[in-house]
Amino acid sequence: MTQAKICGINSRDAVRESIDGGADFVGLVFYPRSPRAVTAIEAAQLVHGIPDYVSKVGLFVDLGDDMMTAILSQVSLDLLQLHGAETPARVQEIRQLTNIPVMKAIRVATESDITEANSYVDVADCILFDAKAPPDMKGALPGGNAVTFDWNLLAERNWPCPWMLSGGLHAGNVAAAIATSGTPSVDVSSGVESSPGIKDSARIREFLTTVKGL
Amino acid sequence: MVISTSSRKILCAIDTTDMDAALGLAECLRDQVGGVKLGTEFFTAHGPAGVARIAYTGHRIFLDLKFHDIPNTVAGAVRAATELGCFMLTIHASGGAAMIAAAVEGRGSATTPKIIAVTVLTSLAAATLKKVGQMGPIPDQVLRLGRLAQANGADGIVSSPHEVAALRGALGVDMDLVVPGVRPDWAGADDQKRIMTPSDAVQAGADFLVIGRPITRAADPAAAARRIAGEIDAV
Repeated sequence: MTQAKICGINSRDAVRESIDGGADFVGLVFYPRSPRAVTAIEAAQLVHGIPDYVSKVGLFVDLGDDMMTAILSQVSLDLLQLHGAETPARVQEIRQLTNIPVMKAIRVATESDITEANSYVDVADCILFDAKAPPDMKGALPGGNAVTFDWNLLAERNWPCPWMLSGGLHAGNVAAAIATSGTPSVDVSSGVESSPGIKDSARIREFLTTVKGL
Repeated sequence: MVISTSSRKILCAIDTTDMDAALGLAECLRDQVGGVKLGTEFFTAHGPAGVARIAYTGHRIFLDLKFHDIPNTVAGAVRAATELGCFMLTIHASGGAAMIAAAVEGRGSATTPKIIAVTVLTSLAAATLKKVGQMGPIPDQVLRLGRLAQANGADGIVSSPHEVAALRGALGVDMDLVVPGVRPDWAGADDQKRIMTPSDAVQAGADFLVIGRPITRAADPAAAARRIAGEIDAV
């Protein structure tokens, strides 16, 4: 069954809806420009009581060791999603510093972006393919921009590590995205929101029902 | 990236209620300064979540809220600031021995935040202090409160540039001296009348320099911060 990650959870309702709907991962955003950003304390409160079979993922963008350590001393995370310009060496460094599995996000627009992932497969535990925001997009974030990319770019490939598809997914297109790309797992953020940063329970439910019903 | 010792001495004061402006400054000063100072103006507008957003840009946070309350309340506030991950915060030394000790206790077993005591606000003149019932020369009061802070476990005090040398002599090398009101001579005087430059202040014994407008109002804040660090280096 395809795994699902609900990213950018910032309310109790979103947590409850994600767990009840069968999400395999929930993501907490520690990136200052995101409307979904949470403090470490808020994150700790949000993940409190989440069952062990749901992985708690922290999203970081080029964060330094000090802040990373400070956050991890407050909230226990199962996977670190690195969504910035972290080099393979930096990914390895974070892996060693924290002793927590890492997922490197690769922003995709064209074929050549996909090949970038090859330099991370040895150092990351998981790869996340996200859509690259168009260069002329105003206020673009490292992710969560509600844009998709050509899922055919990922079709018929064998990755030596687990991977995930992200970028503009929602209940209406996720079935096609899975069928086309062959992804084992999907990640959604803006696609389950009523407006940027506001998670919508009905959309979370609809997304998870769709993914889990395939 | 490893930043230089002199850059680490610079704490940039971000005094604004505009989150976008604050984030923009924090981002462009990444790896150029030793931290950013957020005070009551920013905190009242954006709260701990706002502080966290600035911290996620990678900066050490100096939370300048000048706690002054009953000891229990101050201990609780320091506990909350510790959980927020601040590396430095301020209290008022005039809150008394028990309050200073409670602030230190509120940090628990953590080594940060540094507890920095404010003695006499630089905006207060002798005449003003007299009207609130505080007699005697200001330097005496500064030293009295500085010693009180030290005796009760504070890590440092805020010092006006002109008192750095005297305080360093009186309190020894272990107390951090955090010095606002310094201004490079190329930055213009604004409303600060008696100017001391960052390198003068470091030479006099300052550990940290709180610098606002000379950096935040510069056309290129990162370059201004680098220039100041360079001047400190040249000492």
